[in-house]
Amino acid sequence: MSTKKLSRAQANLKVALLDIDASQYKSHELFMELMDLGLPKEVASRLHDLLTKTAYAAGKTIHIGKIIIVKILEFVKAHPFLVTGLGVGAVVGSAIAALLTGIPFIGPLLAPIAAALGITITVAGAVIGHGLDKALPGFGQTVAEIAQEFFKLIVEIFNLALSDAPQTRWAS
Amino acid sequence: MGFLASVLDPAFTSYITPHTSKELTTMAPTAEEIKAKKKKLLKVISKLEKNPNDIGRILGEFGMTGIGMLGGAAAAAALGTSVAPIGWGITTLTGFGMVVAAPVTLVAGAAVVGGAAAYGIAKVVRNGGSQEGKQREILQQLYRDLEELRKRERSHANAQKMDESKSAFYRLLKQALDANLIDNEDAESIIKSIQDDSMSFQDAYSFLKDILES
Repeated sequence: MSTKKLSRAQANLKVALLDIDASQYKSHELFMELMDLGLPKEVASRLHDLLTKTAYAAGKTIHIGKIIIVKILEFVKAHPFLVTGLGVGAVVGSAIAALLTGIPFIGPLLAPIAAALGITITVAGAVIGHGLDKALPGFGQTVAEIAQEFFKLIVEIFNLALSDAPQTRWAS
Repeated sequence: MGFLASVLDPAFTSYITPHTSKELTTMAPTAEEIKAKKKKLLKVISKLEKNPNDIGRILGEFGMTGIGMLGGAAAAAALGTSVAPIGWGITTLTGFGMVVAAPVTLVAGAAVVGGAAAYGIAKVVRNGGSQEGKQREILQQLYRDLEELRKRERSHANAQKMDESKSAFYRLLKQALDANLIDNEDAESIIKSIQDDSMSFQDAYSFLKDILES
């Protein structure tokens, strides 16, 4: 499907709407959902830390951590077959990897989670993780590709809307 | 309509917990469905333009009630919403002939909450006890919150212009949707967040203005 590029102003609107969307989930609700996924405790607690992170964009404070968590949960729920086939760790890992490759400055924010999941970012910026290039029979794509497609729009929105801060400050 | 189907069989419902109700769709909407939805949205917006204060009734008529954009399956089914983003084209403004009357004021309509709390925290922060950098950050955030509150207070002052401004806003929204500068989902989200007050008219208006001007 061909999509024209987003303009900066459109990205700002979308970020604000994403923020409103995410703010309707209570933090403890999201925390319970994270626990229910069955991830290793370390990963779950680092994802929980992510919930409190905010950034300033589109003229207001965006609860960017919450948005990311909500989207990751959506991704996991949308692909139950991947989860049974590859394990929830690989699915969440592919989501994190997709975000890391797509949004350059989000590295510091996601680094702890990536480390806990065994994903490393090389100096050249490549994202390497065990199992990311696994494909399930019947699926034409690897899990990494599926994740990248799912997060494509989010990546585009974040890149545009958050790009003007000289150094994105991750407040919490 | 009502092409929504839940994809998951009981074996996987352990991933779904009851407190968030999100419907999953199996297929992205076709072009006809997108067009039909857009037409419906335009109708909703035109009605809102004529009667901006009847937003509860109008949204109810079209089945758009429900909290926020994730709102019930009924709303999703009525308007054919899907989880997958729809690709949308962006047309330029030149030659389109958009004439937008700038509203004098836009009313947020929300009660001013949290003002006292903001001042309280500011005092604590200034009296020290935490690291300077963090303090500055908190202060900055509070100033931003204050600005937001002041914005809403100011907009309350001109109650007479209220209806006029709201109509003008809906007119603007209609034009933006018509020109494909915002997609169906965004338009719907904007309408819903205005109704449940998670976004002020002013904010929505300034976003739309930015989009139209870029």
